[in-house]
Amino acid sequence: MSEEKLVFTLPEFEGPLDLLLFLVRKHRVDVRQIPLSTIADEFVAHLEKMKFLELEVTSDFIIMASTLMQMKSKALLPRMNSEEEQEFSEQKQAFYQQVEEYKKIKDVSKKLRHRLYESYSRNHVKANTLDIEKEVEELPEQLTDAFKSIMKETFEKDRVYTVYAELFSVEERMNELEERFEISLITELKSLSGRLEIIVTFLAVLELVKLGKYTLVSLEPEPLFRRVEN
Amino acid sequence: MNEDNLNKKAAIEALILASKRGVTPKKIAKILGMRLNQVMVLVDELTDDYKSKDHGVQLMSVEGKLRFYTKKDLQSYVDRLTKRPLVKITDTQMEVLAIVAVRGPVTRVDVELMRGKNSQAQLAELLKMSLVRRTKSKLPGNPYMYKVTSKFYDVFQIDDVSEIAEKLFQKKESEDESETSEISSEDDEPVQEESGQGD
Repeated sequence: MSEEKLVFTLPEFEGPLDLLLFLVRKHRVDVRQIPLSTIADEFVAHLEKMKFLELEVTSDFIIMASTLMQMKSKALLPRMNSEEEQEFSEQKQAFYQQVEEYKKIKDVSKKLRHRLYESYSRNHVKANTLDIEKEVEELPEQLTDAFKSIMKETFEKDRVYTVYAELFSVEERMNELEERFEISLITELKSLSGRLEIIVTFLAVLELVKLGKYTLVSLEPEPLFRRVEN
Repeated sequence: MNEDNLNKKAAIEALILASKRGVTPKKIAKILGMRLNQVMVLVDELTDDYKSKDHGVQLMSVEGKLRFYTKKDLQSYVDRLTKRPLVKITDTQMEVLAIVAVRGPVTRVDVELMRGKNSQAQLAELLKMSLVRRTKSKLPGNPYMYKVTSKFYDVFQIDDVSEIAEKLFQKKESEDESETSEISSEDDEPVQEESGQGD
């Protein structure tokens, strides 16, 4: 006696939304016209069938099933306040929208398939350019802009500044000056040669006065600074 | 006047044929020193001229670029001369591609939300086929944004995504126009067709 086996076949689904679309299509009406509880029950029933046939039920399906069951239970419970009601209707809207969007995507996808098929009946024709010809390429603006900014940058980098080592430091000059009891400012400055040296010396004197180490004792005939003895 | 028009039409035809990957009406206008709406009128005339049974090619616009294509009924002959390799796209890949085409630029998470399913493998495969490309976005976490490439338009011979997703998506009418033209213009600024309608 040969054992006869029943063979079930189920259409394959890309994902939970694909299955939902299939279930909705069987009703031959708009998604929004099917009660949530009906959709939820049918969805779960289908998952049971899949399990029975030892088909892999991936987590995406489980998530969708639980979302549907949650919405179904919410629909059955008396709603407490308008806030909850609002929340629920938003969730419902989002769900319907997702299903509808997915349906649209399916349609676009089908259209693309058709376009691809059709495209093979047309070949692009151009005056075949021989190797001796070259297309005039207009550099996209972005590229020319980038190039310009690089040019500008390199130009700026080309400006070389000469940096000299510091010949005189205010600190050193202060130490030198501190060895003296009195500083006659004009005589001191006149004895120096370079402008930089003069400036540094002047700053050193000012610094010494500021620190309270020297003090101005007379302005005539020239400013005279004297060490402050502690 | 008529003579002048005829010359301009001939010039447009020459430009389309001589260009490597097609030429935009905007560029034609620039080269010929014409107004865009004048070019469009002549392009329409040219398109009609080529519809005649005496011509084996037709004028089409793909991603905004005008090109000549061989006519459908002659394909059996043309195939013996030149053929392009088949592009194999699975149904799931096509679904992901449809989302990227219509909704792009989108993140992977957006795609997966719409499909309710992981779509990483499909996106990777589409990237490999160079039908989509991705760029880092400035959104939190710098996710990649996916959008279709010029090759997508070439392969599917689509002028504008609105052809396949006409009024399917609840976008504002005005927004729709600017967004789609943005996608189709990689090297050209979006052409404002309204500019010449005043006269």
